[in-house]
Amino acid sequence: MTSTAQDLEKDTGPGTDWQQVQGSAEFVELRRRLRVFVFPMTVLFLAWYLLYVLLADYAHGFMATKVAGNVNVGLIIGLLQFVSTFLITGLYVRYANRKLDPVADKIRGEIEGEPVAAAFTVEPSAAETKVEEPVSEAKVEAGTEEATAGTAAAETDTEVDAGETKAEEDTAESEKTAGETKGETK
Amino acid sequence: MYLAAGVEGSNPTLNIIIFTLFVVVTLVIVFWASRNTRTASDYYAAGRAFTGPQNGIAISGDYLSAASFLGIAGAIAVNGYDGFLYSIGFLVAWLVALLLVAELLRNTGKFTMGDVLAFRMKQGPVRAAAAVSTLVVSLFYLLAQMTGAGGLVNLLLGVSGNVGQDIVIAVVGVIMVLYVLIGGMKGTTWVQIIKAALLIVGAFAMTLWVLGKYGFNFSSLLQHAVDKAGGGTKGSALLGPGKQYGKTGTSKLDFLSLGIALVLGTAGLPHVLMRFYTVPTAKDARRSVVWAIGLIGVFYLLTLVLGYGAGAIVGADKIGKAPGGQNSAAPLLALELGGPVLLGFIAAVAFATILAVVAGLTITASASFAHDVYANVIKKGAVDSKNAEVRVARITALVIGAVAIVGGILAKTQNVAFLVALAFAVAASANLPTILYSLFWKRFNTQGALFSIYGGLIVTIVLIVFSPAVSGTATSMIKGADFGWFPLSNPGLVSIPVSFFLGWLGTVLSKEKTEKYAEMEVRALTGAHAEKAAAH
Repeated sequence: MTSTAQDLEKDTGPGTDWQQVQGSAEFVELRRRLRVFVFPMTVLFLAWYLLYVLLADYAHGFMATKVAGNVNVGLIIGLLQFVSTFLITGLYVRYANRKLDPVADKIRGEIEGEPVAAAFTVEPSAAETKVEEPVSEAKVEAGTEEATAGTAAAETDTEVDAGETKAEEDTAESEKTAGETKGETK
Repeated sequence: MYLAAGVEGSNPTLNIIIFTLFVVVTLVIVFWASRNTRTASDYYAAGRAFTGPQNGIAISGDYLSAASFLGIAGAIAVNGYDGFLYSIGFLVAWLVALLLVAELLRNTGKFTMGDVLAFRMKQGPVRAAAAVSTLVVSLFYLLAQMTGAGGLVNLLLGVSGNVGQDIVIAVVGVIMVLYVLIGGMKGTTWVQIIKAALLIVGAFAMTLWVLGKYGFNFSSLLQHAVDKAGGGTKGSALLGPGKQYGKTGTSKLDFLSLGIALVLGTAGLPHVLMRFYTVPTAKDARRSVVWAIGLIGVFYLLTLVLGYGAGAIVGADKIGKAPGGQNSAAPLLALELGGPVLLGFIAAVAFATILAVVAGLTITASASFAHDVYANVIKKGAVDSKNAEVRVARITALVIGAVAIVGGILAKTQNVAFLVALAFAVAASANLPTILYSLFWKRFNTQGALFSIYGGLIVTIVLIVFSPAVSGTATSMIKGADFGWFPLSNPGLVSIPVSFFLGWLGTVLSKEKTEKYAEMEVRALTGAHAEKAAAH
């Protein structure tokens, strides 16, 4: 399958300007969305767990208070740790599916789009927000000899970058106009 | 082999037949699963072709060791609520893996923890460090499992006497090496899936049985456990915390330390980390953790019922006097409920548990040595063919198998819990800070990684050597000597913050700038150019 193409990419560097992607509005938003969820949630569940351990460790009387039959506070708080673990898992999956995956998939498509296109000549999904011409040029140049792959990649880089920057501006404005741009450039 | 009834009413021949059946069936499956194992990716990561749910079941199979099953059920039966505390720490720990580690790790590595660190740091030193800590954690965990196997044999198969136990430890070791050599990660994963299914189904059936005896009234079950333990204040102590750990200020602090190591150790256990590479994408890694959390959570709820059930039906006195002590609670409960056949089944599941966990540890340790040390440090990444790397991994697996057999035989009288606690403490101290810094902190560099790994490792081991676990008390490893000065058996409370601090200190003291953080961060979050599944 594609293993040789992929290995080549990895060895030569996939020809992506990572600094530029890292600084892009989309990626900054992805990172913000990830961190704004996982960091506070980690603090929350660790604090809740620590509270439980401290109570079990130092508040025996409180934990042994019976609530219903032989079921005491300790058992209920312990079971609530299970509930909160399941709940946080569910919340995270929902959040990741809705807020993280679409953005991550889009950026990944953009990064992997060009080099893969060279090997496959399949219409990359990311192309919809990109100007066509630099991509087709990239195909030609990436198809040249491996020895010059480095310089070729460097050249395509700048061109593709221009395309990406433009595409990003489009997306930044709104998804709809991006769709229109696609129609226009085609 | 000298056979004697380990547990009264047990039928050793039946147990051995059921166990042999399990080994034969799994070996056939391992052969079947391994027919496509060719490349390093096949051998180490099962071609990354497992689905999220499959991997999730395998993770729970890897994670629910004999210590979880027999140990926690037994601890609840004898010490009541305090046994329950373990299961909560073991479960909540998975949130660290889910939220902070699993997906980002899947996106940035190939096979090992060393891959993630080497992404943007100096390959040689960080890979060597990662391999050292992986080998240390795996070996301690491995020894604990092998030692546990010796004890179990005594209990379940009625094999007693030194030679008999040694033979069984050797047999366990040989079977485990066979799984790993033949099946690679794919075979090992299938063994874990089968074992997890057997374990959870068996525990579920027993739980229903126990609850059915008490009209599905949990409170009534608790009452019977209290009555069986002598009633009054003595019996009621089972229901609240403190029976085991509440005695002194030091023992309370020790428990706090253990709790922290448990919750932070899981996401640093190398055999758990490696499982995330067996799925095609980060999304599948997420799905695996979700399945694992579900299964592990349900399983620990079952052990709560089984533990109190064993307390109510068998009784703590009888459990304490049985060979194997606390560990015999679940098997004895099975015997009371379903006679020798159910006991035989549970015995086989317990063995399957040890085999599967040990196989998972072996493949992790061998992958770490072959991939990090041999291929990337000794050969500097210029291995003539990927087959050479896999060959080294297989040889390493043989060596590790031999070390585990010899170590298991030598250490069979040692305290198992101490070895497991050590593994968790090292994982939480040396591995977790390094992984988190590497994934989330731009400034983190080679020196920081070396400080946190080696520093964490050294601090943890030094504190353990001078702790009551090694000398100074009746249950210590070295009896009759006292050179300890560290009061806690579990060093996590000190060693984890120290490792985080060392990682920070090493980083700021170095001028090295890592330029590849942009690439790493983008790839970690988006999965761009992540290792794909192999096509067969």
